[in-house]
Amino acid sequence: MTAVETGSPSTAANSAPSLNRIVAYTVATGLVGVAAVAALDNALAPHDYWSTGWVWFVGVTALGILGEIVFVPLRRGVGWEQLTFNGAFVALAAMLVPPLYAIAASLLALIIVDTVLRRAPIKILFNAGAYASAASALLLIFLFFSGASSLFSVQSVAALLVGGIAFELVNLRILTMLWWALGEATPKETWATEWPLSTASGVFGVGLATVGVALGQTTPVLTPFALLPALALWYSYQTAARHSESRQRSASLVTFGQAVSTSATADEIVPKAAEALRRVFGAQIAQVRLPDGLVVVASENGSSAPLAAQDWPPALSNWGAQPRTLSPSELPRDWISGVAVRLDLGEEEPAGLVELGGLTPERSLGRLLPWLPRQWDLDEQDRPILAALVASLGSAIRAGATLSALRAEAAKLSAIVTNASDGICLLGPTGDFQLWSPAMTRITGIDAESALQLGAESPGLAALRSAISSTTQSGRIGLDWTDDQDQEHYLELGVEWFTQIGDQAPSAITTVRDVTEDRRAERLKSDFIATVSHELRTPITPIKGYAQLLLTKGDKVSPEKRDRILGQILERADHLARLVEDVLLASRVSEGTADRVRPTVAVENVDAVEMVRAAIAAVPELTGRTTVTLPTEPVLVSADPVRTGQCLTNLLTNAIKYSEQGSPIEVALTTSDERGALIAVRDHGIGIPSSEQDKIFRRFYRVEDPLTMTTGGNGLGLFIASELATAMGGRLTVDSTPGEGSVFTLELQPPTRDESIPPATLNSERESM
Amino acid sequence: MSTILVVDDDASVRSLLRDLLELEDLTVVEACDGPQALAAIAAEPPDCVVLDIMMPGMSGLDVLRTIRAQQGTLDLPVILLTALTDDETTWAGWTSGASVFLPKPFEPDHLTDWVLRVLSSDSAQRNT
Repeated sequence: MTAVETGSPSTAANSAPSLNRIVAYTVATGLVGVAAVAALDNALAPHDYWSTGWVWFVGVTALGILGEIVFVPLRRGVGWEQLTFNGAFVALAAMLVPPLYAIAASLLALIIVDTVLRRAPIKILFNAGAYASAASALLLIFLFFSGASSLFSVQSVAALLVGGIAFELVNLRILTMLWWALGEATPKETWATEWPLSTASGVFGVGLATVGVALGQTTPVLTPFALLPALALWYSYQTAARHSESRQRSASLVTFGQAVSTSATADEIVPKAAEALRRVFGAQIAQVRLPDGLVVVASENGSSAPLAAQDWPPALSNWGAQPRTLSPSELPRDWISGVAVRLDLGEEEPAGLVELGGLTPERSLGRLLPWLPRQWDLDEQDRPILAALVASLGSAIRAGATLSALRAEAAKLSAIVTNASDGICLLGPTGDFQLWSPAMTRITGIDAESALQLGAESPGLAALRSAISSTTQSGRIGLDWTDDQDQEHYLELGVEWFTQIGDQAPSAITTVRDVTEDRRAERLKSDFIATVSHELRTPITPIKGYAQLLLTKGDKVSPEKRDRILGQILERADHLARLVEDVLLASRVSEGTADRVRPTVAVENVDAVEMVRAAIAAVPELTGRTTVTLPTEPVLVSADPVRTGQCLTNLLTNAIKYSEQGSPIEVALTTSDERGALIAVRDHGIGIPSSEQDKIFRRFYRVEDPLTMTTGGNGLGLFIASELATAMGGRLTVDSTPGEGSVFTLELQPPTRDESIPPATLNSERESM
Repeated sequence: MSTILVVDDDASVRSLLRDLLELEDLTVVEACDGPQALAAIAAEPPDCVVLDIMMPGMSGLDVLRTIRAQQGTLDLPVILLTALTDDETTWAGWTSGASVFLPKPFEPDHLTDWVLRVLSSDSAQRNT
């Protein structure tokens, strides 16, 4: 046996020599062999050769060709070995023609066949080298040991036998190196399995040659019976090939099983399964067509490109669950044979198709001798196996699809739960939390690990659990809840009771929203409404009362008293008017940043110093406790004088309201180049906690003293003051320490045109009132 | 001459009440918050109290309940005045023991009528 055809090589063993080195080694030994034969050609005793003429040479070469193309292919991993009758041929040639002729003829035969079959040059070289080495070994042994004895002496025949065996063993030796380099098996393994066949091959080959020549010389009519050894050899080859196939099939079945048993998507399963199927049945090509149009192709040379549209088979509904041989019209292009079976992907799904086949033989030689290159067809016993394997592939793909769908769903749900802004938690039937979204942690301050743990828990978590458990039916509830840092919250819970599959008792899925701020805002608003309605009604009482009094009992009233009464009515009416203005302003001016409505202000260049003086004069309660620091020169600012007066009055009355009777109040006006004028009002009262400092400027907000409502007011003053300041281009800020007092600073813009007077310094004048 | 105690945090309301009641030849004592009112009652019990509900600190209802809780002032006539007209306040007012419940703003005639009536029935009661 000789001649090796390999497919794509597998990875070489680490210690194996490289392929190139093997080829070089083989060629070298071949050359050495040929040289040795050439050198010893005349030295060795010549036999009475039958022929030396060129006709015989051609004839022998023709036999050599025959020996080369009649072979049994043996599968070895990715490659094929061709079991030929070359050994027999060389033995024959050794008996018939001189050694050099023999070698020349055999090499010529080899080269002719390989070239016609268009094998790669490196393969031809390798084969030639191997052949030459083996042939020269046979020839040398035969010629050396047969001596001058006749062709059919015991010595000659024995020498030929040994030579024949040597031929096969040299070949085997070279093959072991090759398989080793290709990573198929170590030399030891190959040798162990192959030496019986090699020996048999040698013996039968020599038998064929000697019997053939002997019969040809003595009883030509019986020469065909010389083929009996050939038949024996042929059957040995077939057996060896079948064993090899069987091993291959087992290995491929294992691979197929692995491919379909991994829980993976169709994309991952199908290519592996297609290749494994191809190997199990020895097809040259395997195709899997999926309903979505994808075609996965596994072929001897690796995967190839998808088919063109015209190669699609007729309607898939024709294909049955049992493998069916394809008719020539159904075969895809380049296929010479094929079997197809339906790939069932589930009842609702359209089906797919699995096709296995053999390809058009490459070369014209194959077409001339169509039975030589391997034809592919499926055995009868193999059909049920193919059907079963394809069915398992179908269910694996279905499982993979279900798994993908489940994963996608799970990922989607997980994303929803993780990213929802409301907290989501699931209280299981046994009272423990099974789900705790990141938003829950943000809202409650309890992390998922603590929440999901069984056993000891914080009071906050226990409170949540009992609140949810206590709802008897699905719905929304409000919950006053204290977290584990003793902060009060108001939470809105949406509870839905349902029973999970497999549970006896129901679970509650709950959404949680922190509405503390919303509720506080609502409360402030309703407080405001209550307060303001009282405050509006209060001044009306004396207005109406006094007016009625004068009407009914006016004659009883002295003129002085009448004037006083009328003064009271007027004063109360003014107060009421201001209050109404405040309320209207507050309701018109909206809070928030997007589309704010701002109060209208009439801005002009005015003297800030005068405005401060006027505001202070309007608040008599400031007398005796107020220090005022103003520049001597006027300070021009861009502001609305009436509105500024309103702001300042509010700040001043607040200073009085939120500090004890008689505690000092300081008012100061300072200037800066970039920031215009700053008017600061400082008190030494109760101060404002830092957490409330930005809230005091909001509508309806009052600093609440929880024990006594000693503040009064309607929460609008600072809101309006800050809105007016902003509307004039300035702003109102606060700096405060609880228990020590507060400083409110009103910032006003510099005048619009360049009429500004150089800023005066602070220490110019101190006034005490 | 009967003495009326007027309790309200708003000075102008107190002044109005004073003017109204003095025209009826009644003596008026003013108090501007709950503690002041209770102190005045303790010092010299008036014949009638005109009491505002909404006051900072102690509300009029608290004052009323205190008055009703004390032995000496169980029957002291109290006229409640308020700008709060919600049901809750009204109910609280009646259940706290007010003799009369008047909303603000009030008709001055109504006030003086009620005061005089309350005084006459009270004195009638005392005399019997």
